[in-house]
Order: sequence, then structure tokens, then C-alpha cells
Amino acid sequence: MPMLRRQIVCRITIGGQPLNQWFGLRISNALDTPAASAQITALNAVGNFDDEVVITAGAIPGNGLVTRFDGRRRQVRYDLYPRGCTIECIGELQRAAEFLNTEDPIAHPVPAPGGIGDLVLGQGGLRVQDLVPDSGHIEGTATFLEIAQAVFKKADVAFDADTSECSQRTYGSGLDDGWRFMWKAGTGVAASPGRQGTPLLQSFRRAGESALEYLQKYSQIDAIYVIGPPNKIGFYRIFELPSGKVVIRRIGGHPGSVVSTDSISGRYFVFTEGGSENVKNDSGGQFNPDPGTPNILTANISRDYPLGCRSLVVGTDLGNYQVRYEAQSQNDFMPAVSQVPFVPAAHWDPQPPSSEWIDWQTFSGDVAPYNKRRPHGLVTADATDSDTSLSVAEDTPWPEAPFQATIAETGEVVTVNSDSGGTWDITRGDDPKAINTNFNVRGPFILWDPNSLFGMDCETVAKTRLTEINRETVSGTISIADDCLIEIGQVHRIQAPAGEADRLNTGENLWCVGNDFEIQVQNEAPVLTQNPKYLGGGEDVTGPELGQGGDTGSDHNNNNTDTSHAWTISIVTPADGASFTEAMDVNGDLSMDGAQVPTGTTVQLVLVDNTTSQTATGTGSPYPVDPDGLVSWSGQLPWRSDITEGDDMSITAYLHSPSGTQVAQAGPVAGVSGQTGGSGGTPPTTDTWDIDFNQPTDGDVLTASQDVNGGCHLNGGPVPSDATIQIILVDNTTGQTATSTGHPYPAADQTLTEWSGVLPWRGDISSGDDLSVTARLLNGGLSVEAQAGPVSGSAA
Amino acid sequence: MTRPPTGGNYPQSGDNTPYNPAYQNYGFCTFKGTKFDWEAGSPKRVVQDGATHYQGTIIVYRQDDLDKMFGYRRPCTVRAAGDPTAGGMVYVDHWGTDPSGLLQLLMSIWNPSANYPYPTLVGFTAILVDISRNETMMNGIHRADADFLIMQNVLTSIPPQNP
Repeated sequence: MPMLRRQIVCRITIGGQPLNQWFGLRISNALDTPAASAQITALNAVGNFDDEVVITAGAIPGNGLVTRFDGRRRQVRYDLYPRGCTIECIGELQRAAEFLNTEDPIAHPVPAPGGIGDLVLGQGGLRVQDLVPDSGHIEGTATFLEIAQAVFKKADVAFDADTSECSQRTYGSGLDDGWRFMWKAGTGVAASPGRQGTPLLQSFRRAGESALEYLQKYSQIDAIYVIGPPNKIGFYRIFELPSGKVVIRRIGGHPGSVVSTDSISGRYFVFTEGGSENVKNDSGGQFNPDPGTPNILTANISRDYPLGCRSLVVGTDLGNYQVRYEAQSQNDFMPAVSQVPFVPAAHWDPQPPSSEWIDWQTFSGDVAPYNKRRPHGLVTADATDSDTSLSVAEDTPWPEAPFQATIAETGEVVTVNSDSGGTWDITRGDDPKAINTNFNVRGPFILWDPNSLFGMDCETVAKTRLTEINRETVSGTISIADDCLIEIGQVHRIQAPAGEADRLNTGENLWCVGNDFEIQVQNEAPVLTQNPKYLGGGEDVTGPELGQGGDTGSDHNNNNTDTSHAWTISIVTPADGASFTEAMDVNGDLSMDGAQVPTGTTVQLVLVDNTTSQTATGTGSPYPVDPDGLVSWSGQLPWRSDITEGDDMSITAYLHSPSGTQVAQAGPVAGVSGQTGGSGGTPPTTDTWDIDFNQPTDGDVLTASQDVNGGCHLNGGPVPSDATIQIILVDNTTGQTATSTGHPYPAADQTLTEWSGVLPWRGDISSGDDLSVTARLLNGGLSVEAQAGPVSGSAA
Repeated sequence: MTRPPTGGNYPQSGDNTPYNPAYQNYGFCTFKGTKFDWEAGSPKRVVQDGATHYQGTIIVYRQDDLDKMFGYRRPCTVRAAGDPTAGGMVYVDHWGTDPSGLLQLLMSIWNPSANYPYPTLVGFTAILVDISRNETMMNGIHRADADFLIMQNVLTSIPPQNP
């Protein structure tokens, strides 16, 4: 067996002083804990509370001395016998958890009635506009990244904004002028236009909100849901790197297809189990060292039942409307369900990420009342109580003058007569007061362009969340001796030799969601061990509604780039227009700089069923051709069980260099599904579905919430109970749409041959608008089987 | 003049001449150049955590050689990846610089042409991972229990793992 003799190296400094006599150390970091931590067992404690603790450690050969922890010294526990003490250290992110906001720009003491002590009134804390005053985004809003940067700066936490990412949505506005997004300071709130104040006698100062708690609220909802390939799905999570820097990166859904590489050595994070003597290479020997010498010491992986297949995310309350979105899909164990009472199986998300900070209902911003917003700006120069000229930042689009604006700090309402490049000519209010620089000015409610990408929507959050619950949850931990630099958010491959799944039944990529790094001393000798923790999505069990091919997640951890060569790839088989069949051979040619490609080059295959918009992925491998070497590749056509004969299909091949970078593409090559062979295939359907309207009928006057109904049949009989009806209203006058869901219900003969629903409506429909209604019959897999309409009418 | 104690398989000079091993730098085996011999029945070859050890009682003929042997002692942690029968990596962790050295053992190697086992010096790279004093005999010869970790198929870098 291959033997690796390693020199273990470690250096611990506390407050800049080296710690020499220690017996063991353990560094823990995980996504589900607030911050990293370290425990050092030593003969004596050194340093003081909050001293900086830096631990560098590693092995030679290996990464050598690499920073594994950078945090602060805290608690020390002393033991009598055997003598020793444990020095507890916290990571940088813990300091954000301990930093409570006390800032309120307009906080001021108010004498309490009866002389029971001073009360404090203000705006309640810091708004997004206070945190990021010069964001440059619409209405003073800011992205999660910008807000985090400002908050971490106040908390004096090292934040690596350069390698962090976010959804690019901006937060901090809305009907309530963004008061919801307040970083609470514990101060009372003075009543202001449109905002209820704190009762005076309850306006004593309380503890503020912690920086981490405030940012976690953004992390809970800041999501992206883009179906590719490549797909980009996930929430943006806050965590800490071994270097002590805090980052925000995307994690969610299924792990990406690209295995991360060690930022120090460039090695792939591939961990191979040495589980079975039966897994051998062609010569009958063990795999050594390529494609993988077993390097997992111990491991435990579990595969769990999906959490659910339906997520209802509730957003902000608009007073007369509750913003919400319900995403649902299905898996092998949880069929898509309707809200019809006699369907009992409803697997709802136990912990949907609902939040009042979610502004919009759908990605397209379909909730009309929310288009009303108040512009906001900051005064840029002082003005006395008699000045009739006011300088205001022009970032926010203000309405055309004349309009009325409110000075938030004083409550004075001024009339803006004209606006010349940020200088307003104003008529003062009834009780004019001095206006200082950086006072907040708010304009009247106006209609905004709903296409602006600001605020989060329930649809994106719900669909992203669905990818976290509607999956075979793969979790576990392994134990390795390798000293690679493991970070949360990396994609690691856990496999048996040759990429097979063996004793661990795992031959796939998993998210790294935590790691314990430890060096213990046993019998005077060091023991370096790492215990990374994992989370994955198993096989792609998401249903037709989402339909990603399992290639989701982060790509930021691919540290290698290789674009300095000229790469080519082509598809020889199948040819354009060929018949696609399951497991058919796919092959072609490839090259790097006109010659063979290096070992480690891979080919990713993406099959798209254009009929159903579903995808499947697979891999191909280069193989040697005499005398040129690795200039050809082959693989099997990836397939899906829901492909039916006659489906329009296309296959694309992506060439990845050994570093994992996508360097070339071939195709798409189009074809038609020839047969659906294989035990997993679905036989071609010959079912006949139909749907029609009873009401409304052509020419009707349509009103909000009116009943819409008709008949629905499968092969002339009742439809299955999991069928649903999608009702689509189109306002042909404005070009806007609205949708709602109808359901089959038992007719007189107790069979599901009729359906009903409520006409979807929009707040911006005007009387007389030209409307049309369409009903689509969806099967249990949410595929459209039949359509009725459009029925035309006019708005009441 | 003394002779090696009877009952043990201590080395004797070819002509059976008595000698004083406490004054002669004697021993057929060496580790890092320091001579020693194995007591009768030693060493035992033991495979632990995927690594081969030679363990047993050694005879060291001089006090300063015994001191040297204790100076060579370098504890190591040996761990094998997964099922040791499956050919996984074996990690040998130690503090400080390379603790391994040349271990020369006098072994009986079968000579097919002579149809007889010939005593032959065989060299290994090894680490003296443990040594503990056993006994100092009347004649000044020292016995100690030693554990040599044999380094076989040692890699100089971490083997690549390709996805």
C-alpha cells in the first residue's frame, strides 16, 4: 500500500506570542453554527481575552503551514488532573453576533412625564439608506452585499467582499419607505407620516439587534433561481473561511458538477473510499494512484426521505393583500397535490423562508398595488427655516414638479415648484424648520417601473427553497488525514475507486457545509485529521415544474482557470436529425492546440427534451487513438424516464479542461426520440384530454373574483384527482396577465368531470379593458394536456 | 573475559573465540549505523494499520549505543485509509525532520543453488517508533524492546485524485 510519511507542522500565536506547550487543537466551522470556533489544550493559558489567535498548520508533503483559524481568545477552562487548560477561541463572525446596533441617526432624549427617567425617541435604528447612503440604486436601496459590507464595517469584522456574491436584488424600500429593513437600535420610534410611533412611556432604550441577526434575515431570502444550463439556484449564505474572513456565497439545490480544487495545491477535492477488494482495475489490481487512491479514513453517509414537495412562502403584508407564492413539484414518493380536500397527501415545507422583507409576489412583479412607491433622497446642503432653495441628491427619480415632499426629520411638508438638477425651488410648509445636510426627504407615492430588479419576490424564494426540500437529502461526514484547505461551500466528490459507489453508496458531488480540523497528540506523536461535513441532493428527484438536470449550485470555488489554450470539440454521432435512443453511443473529436488533450480532460453531455423542456446530463471521456493520443471522446446519451417517443431533443457536449473550466462546446445536435426503452421509461401516451368553458362565454362582462367553470375529461371520463386547471387572464388593453388555479370537482355522478375556479384579476385593470380568459388542463406532473379558450370579454 | 550468556542465540565469532562484547563494537544488525542484534526468536513481523513493523527484543552491546538508540526514537502515528485490505493510503505522521534511517538486518535468505539459507544483510528504510529499556545484564549487555516501522512504497508527494 502507498505510504505517505508526513511532517506535521503547527504554529499557534495568541496576541502575537507563540504558544509552545500544547497537547491538541480542534477547529470547528459549519454552516449551521453562527461562527467558527477553536479549542486549544495547553499546559498554561497565555494571552488575554479578545487577543487575536492565529493557528497555522498542515503537513509536509502537503500544504504546509496554512492559516486554519484567525479569531479571538475567549474562555479558558482549567483542569486539576491531568493538569491542563482549554483555551476557547471564537471566529470573526461571532463578533458580528456580539455586536449590537446602538446607532439611530435621529435618536434624542425625551423627558419622561413624572420624572421617571429619560426616554429615547428616534427612527428605531439604521435603515438601508443610512447604512449605504450612496448605493446609487433606485430609491436608495442596496444589495445584500452592500448592506453586509456596511454592517460588517460597523461591527469591525473582516469581510471579503471581493470574493462574495449576492443575488443583486436591492432591498430597503417599499410602501413603508423601507422601515421594515431597519437594523434595530433599541430606540423608540417617533411617529411620522405613514408610520406609527412607539408609545411614549415604552420608549426607553432597549438592546439593539446584532449585526449577524440582522444580516441573517437577508441571507434567508436572498436567492437566485435561474434554469440553465448552467443552472444557478441557491440562497446566499454567510460563513467564515479558515483565513478568518467572512464571505457570502451561494449554496443550495444540488451541488455543482465541477469539483472544487484546493486553493493552495490545486488538488481536486476527491475523496475515495477504500472499501472493497472487489473494485479493481483492468489488471486486477487496486487503483493506484489514478483515478483515486483510497484516502478516506472513516465515513458515514446517510440518504434521507425528501422533506416535502410544496413550499408556501409568504412575503410582506400590503394591508389589503398578502404577498405569497406556492411552489410545488413532485418526487417518487410525494405526488404533486392540489388543495382539493379529498386529496390527503400534502407535503408542505415545514420551515418555509417567509419574511416580511420579501417585496414582490412573483418574479415578474405581478402584484399591481405594490408598484406604488415613494421616492427618497438626502439633503446635500443645510437650509435655514426661511430658505426656499433646497439641494437634494438626484439619484432617486423624482416626479415632475410641482409635487409635495416631506422632510422626515422635521415632518415639514414642502411643495417643490421646480427641480433644476438637484436644486429645488420650494414653498415652505406651515411650520418651517431648519433643514440639515443628510436629512431624509420623501416624495409622494408614484408609480414605478415594475421591471426594475429591486426587492425579492416570493416566487424566487419558494422555488429555490423547493430545491432544498424536494430532494433526496444526502448528508454525512468523512474523516480524512489529508491537510487540504477545506472551506464551506466547496464541492467535493465522494467516491469509491473509479468513481463508483461502493460501501458508502456515494459516487457523487456533495456540498461541504462544515469541517473539523484537529491535531491531537497521541503517545507523543501528532495525529492530523479533518472531518468535513456534507450535504447533497442525491439523484435529481425534482419534478417537471423545476426540471433542472442536477447541475446546480456554486461555481466560485473552481480556483483553476485554463483559457490559454485553443480547445475544440465536435459531435460526430449522433448526426443532426438522428433518432435518439436511451444509452446510445455519443462520440466525437476533441483537441487542445491542435493535438491531443491532457489527461483529466472531461466532456459533459447535456440532453434537452425540447418538447417538455427537461434536461439530463451525463459525461463522456476522451480515449486514445493511435498515433495521435487523446483526440476522440465517447459517452452514453444521457436520458430521462419521462421522455416519450417523438419528443424533439438536442444534445450538447461541453469540454472541460483538467482544471474543470469549460473551454469549448459542440452542438446542440437536434434529433427525435426514437424509442423510450429501458425499464424506467414511460410508455407513449395515447390519452385524450379535453377541457371547455361553461362560463364565462364570449362577450361577457368580466368582474374580479367571478366564478369560472366548465367541463374536463380524460378519455371521455373523469380526470385524475391530481389534475389542476390553470386560468390565465390577459388584459389585451395593457398587455398584462394574471393567473389563478382551478380544480376538478365531483359532478352529480361523483366523478371528476367538471372544474371551477376564480377569475384571476389585476389591480390595474380599468373598466372597459379588452380581456380574454384561457383555461389549461394540467396533469399530475403539471404538464399542459389540453386548453380551452381564449374567451373574450370586457372589464366591468 | 566473558561469553554471551547461554540459552540465547547471541552471536559468536566464527572460530568460537571468547570475546567481550561490552568492549567490542559488536552486532550483526544496524540502525543508522548503530549495531545491535535481535534476541532469539525476534523480531516478529507485525502488520498494523496497513504498515509493517519489526518488533522484538534487541541486544545492544554498549551503553553509548543504547543511548544512541534511545536518541533515534521518534514516535509516529500510523493510519490506513478505509479497509486496509483495499490498498488505501497509509499516513505516517511525525513531528520534526525525517525520522527514518537505514535498518540493516541479518536475515537468512534461501540460496537455491546451494539449497541452503545464507545469512544476508538486508536493508530497509525504517523509523524506530518505540524503544524501552528491558534489562542490563551482568556482563554489561543491554536488552531493550524495539519497534521498527518499515517504510515501504513511500510516496514523495500526495497522489493525484481525479474526478
